[in-house]
Order: sequence, then C-alpha cells, then structure tokens
Amino acid sequence: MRSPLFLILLSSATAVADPSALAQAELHLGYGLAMSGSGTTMSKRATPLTLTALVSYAFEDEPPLWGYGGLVVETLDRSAVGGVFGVKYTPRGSRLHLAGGGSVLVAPDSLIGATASGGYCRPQGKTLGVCGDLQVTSYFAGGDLADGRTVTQVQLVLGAVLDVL
Amino acid sequence: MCSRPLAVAVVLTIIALAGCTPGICGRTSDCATGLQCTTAGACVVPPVDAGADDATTVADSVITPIRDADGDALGIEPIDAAPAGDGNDIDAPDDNGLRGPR
Repeated sequence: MRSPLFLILLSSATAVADPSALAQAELHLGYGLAMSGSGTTMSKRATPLTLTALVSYAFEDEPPLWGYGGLVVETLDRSAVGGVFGVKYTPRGSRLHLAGGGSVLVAPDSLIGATASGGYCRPQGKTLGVCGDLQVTSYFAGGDLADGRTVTQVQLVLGAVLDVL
Repeated sequence: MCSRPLAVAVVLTIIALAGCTPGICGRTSDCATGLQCTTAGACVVPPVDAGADDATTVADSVITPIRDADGDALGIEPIDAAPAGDGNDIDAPDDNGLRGPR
C-alpha cells in the first residue's frame, strides 16, 4: 500500500494511460440529462455543461484503487463551482474503470450529491489517454434544491488523462 | 474502436434531450434570476421574509416619555380604581320615588 497521505489528493474517474503511473491529472467535460420529481411535476432537462479538473493517486496495488479529488464548474446556462472526490477502480489489464464518490457545489448555492461512473480509456502516446464515461450523479441535499426534491443527472463525460508521476 | 459506443451514447443523449420539460424546474438555478424552484417544480417569486432589515426591534418600540417645558419626563400615573363613595357615584335623590300629580 502506498502512502495514505496522498489519499487527500484523491483522483479520477478515468483510466490509466500507463499502468505503472502513480499520479494523474485529468480534465473532464460532461453533458447530459437531469431529471427531478415524478409524475406531472417531473422535470427533464439538459444538465449544465460540467467541467471537472482532477488529480488522482494510486493508493492501493491490489485491488488497483485510485483516489481522486478536484474542482468542478457548471456553466452554459448557469455558473456554479464546487468540488468532487472519490475512489476509482481499474481492473488490471483492462482499459475499463469504475468510480464512485461525492460531488459538492458550494457557490452560488449549495448542492450535495453522490456520483458513480464507468468508462473506457484509450491511450494516446506514452502518458496521455482519452476517456469516455457514463456518469450518474444524484443531488439529494442543498440550498439549490427545492424542498423534497432530488435531481439525478446522467452525463456523457469526455476526458483527457495525463500521467504526471 | 471506441468511436462506435461513443457515437451511440451521443445519439442517445440527443434523443433524451429532445424530451425535455423546460417549464418544470428541479433546482432553483434552473429558474431565472430572482425566482425559486418549488416542490411542485414551478419557478416562483420567493416569499418576502419579515427579515432582519424590516423587523421592529425592542429598542424601536420604546415609548418616548412626554416631557414638560424643562425637559423633565412626566410620569404616567397609574389609573387606580377610585374608592367607593368618592363622588363618582350617581347619587339618587333622597326622594326618588315617583310621585303622582298633586
């Protein structure tokens, strides 16, 4: 097991361009559909464009686990900023990955949610990878939500991952 | 290799977005500035709070005493129940009987 200090730096929902890499920097671009409520009051609308900058660190060899954390920005039809964090699992010898964690928006209003994603990364050279993920985020608390409502968004996420260590 | 699944995902996303219900909100940030998303999914003008700015404080409620020409506050005398027989009674005449014509 690698140094737990780096768990604080947590990381990505994308895969490993180089299986021996210890740390990665990632940039994600997400867009999709957000749903809320049920029946006649169900809303279904486009999500904001979500930009995410992440740092990830491999903290466990077996099973191969990465922690990730970073900043998230919502834009297009609104402006919001917050953070994301979580753990990613990348099976050995595979370009697939699964990730789960939390997403918290802090400004201009609060929003707290849980997120899960799965995807595939394709190496582009020695240190770069391009990834596609399907990400589900459920916001269940925060001042931006109406009372008693939750919002679930399903996004297609395109990412670039760079090995930095 | 991954271009086909990606294209399928993009197409599915576009199809899903075509069924949007823009009139219903899920988050307050879905609404125009100054509006708030309700539990029913409608964007409404938020109720006006009797907030701190508008609240009448205890200090505001202090009664300013009436002052005399010298600036001294005039005391407010309590209103006591007047003792019986102090002249406030309506005294019946001693001879209060009804009299017939003489």
